[in-house]
Amino acid sequence: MGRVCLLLPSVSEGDALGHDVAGMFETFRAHGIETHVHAHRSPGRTRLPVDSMRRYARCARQPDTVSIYHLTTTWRAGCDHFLSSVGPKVLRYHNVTPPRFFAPYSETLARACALGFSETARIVKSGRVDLYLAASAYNRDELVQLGAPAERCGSLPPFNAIPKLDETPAAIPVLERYLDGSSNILFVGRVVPNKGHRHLLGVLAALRRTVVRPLRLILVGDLQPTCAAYYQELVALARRLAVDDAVVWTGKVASDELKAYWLLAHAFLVMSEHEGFCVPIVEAMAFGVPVIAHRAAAVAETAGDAGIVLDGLDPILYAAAVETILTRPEVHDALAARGRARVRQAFDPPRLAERLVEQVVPLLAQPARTQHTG
Amino acid sequence: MTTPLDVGEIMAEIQRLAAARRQASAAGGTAGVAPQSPLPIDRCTLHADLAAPVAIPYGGMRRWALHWLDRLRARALEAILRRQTFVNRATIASLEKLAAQIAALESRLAALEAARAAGRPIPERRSEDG
Repeated sequence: MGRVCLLLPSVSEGDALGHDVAGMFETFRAHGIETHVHAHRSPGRTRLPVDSMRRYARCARQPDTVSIYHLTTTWRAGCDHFLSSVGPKVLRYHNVTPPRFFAPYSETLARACALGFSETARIVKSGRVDLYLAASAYNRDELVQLGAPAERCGSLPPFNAIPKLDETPAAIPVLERYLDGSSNILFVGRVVPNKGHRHLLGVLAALRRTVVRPLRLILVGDLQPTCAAYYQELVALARRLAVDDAVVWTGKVASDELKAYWLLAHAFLVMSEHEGFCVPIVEAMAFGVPVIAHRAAAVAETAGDAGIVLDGLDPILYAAAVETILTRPEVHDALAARGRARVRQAFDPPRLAERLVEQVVPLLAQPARTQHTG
Repeated sequence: MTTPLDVGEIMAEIQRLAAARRQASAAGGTAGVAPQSPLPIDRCTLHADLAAPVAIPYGGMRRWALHWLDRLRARALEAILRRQTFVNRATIASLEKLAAQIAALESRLAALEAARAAGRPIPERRSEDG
């Protein structure tokens, strides 16, 4: 039997990509398959053994090496290495955020996204990919539109860290700070423009006009230095809407703190304008937090029938949905039960592991696609 | 046991509520509705009960006890927030037992301190003290 090499630009524990790579690594290792993780850099603390790209170059010369390339943004060198590998190739497509979201705030990020798109197109057009493993049906459709053959496009939701989060004791200081009788509306995601933070602030303002009970909007997510202008714009907007006293910006949080925020939440509100999957929706459902979501990109398919998915971005409509959940315990409970059931049925890590093995292991025994076949 | 959810009905209800709110907003007023308690648990009360500080003036033992107390409090709060009432009772029982042990330890330490301050001989440790 050969080996599997997982390629990604940067390994960071605690983000969706890191959990997906860790899930794949553990799955292949559990099946007795030699597995390596290769990254350009590993900025954070990680429990994964990360090998260099130089070592990958050696593995890539072996015909029995299956390379799985995790694509989220530009990585020119990784793309070159992947395409020149001799063995079977799998493109794990997490999606690339359209550059238009970043253009007003960061030229660098907008350019990185544009390059990410062109590298995706280049990989697809090479015709050398044996399997496309999209994180959602939305992502799969995008690959097919770029020219990937539909019969070689599979989908597999990303691995999640819910079992580990479940075992982690919640951070007491966070629980103590926010268990004060307020209703906590939560969003989890990096502070970047496609996540629709300004819509969340608008909903909070609309809610405060109608709901007397104290409300709080907790925004959990890394404040990106490259998008500082976006954050400043949001802070100013919160002040203008007179909701700044009820908004909590946590920045990046540790897993015990994240657990605490899930326990504190009365509703999870996601108004992103672009998501290739949206792992926090799965976490919300696992913790029995009702999901209210904007129908954009892959969001609706991730929430399935377990969330309230709304069209458009009218803050009053979303405020009405939040108000319904806050005031109707039976709706809250029914959505919570549906969410838990959906996680068991669609996002349970052992089931994801089975699906991964079913799709990738056959490649270990077959020669790679070397010709341009579209 | 949860009641089955009719998503269509809930969506229609949300649309009706939004329409009412829009109308109120256009009229320049606010409905000002105070919702019922969102969850059947009063989180504030539980918070006050579980966050009661426990003072133990004893270095290593204090740190050890507080560490476990924190873990138990985390578990108890989590169980309550997730409404796992069965687990909750068991966890709270452990918490109460630990709190009682800490209180007994604190009282014994206070007696020792008082004896030392008064120049009385310090009583010998009894076997049942563990």
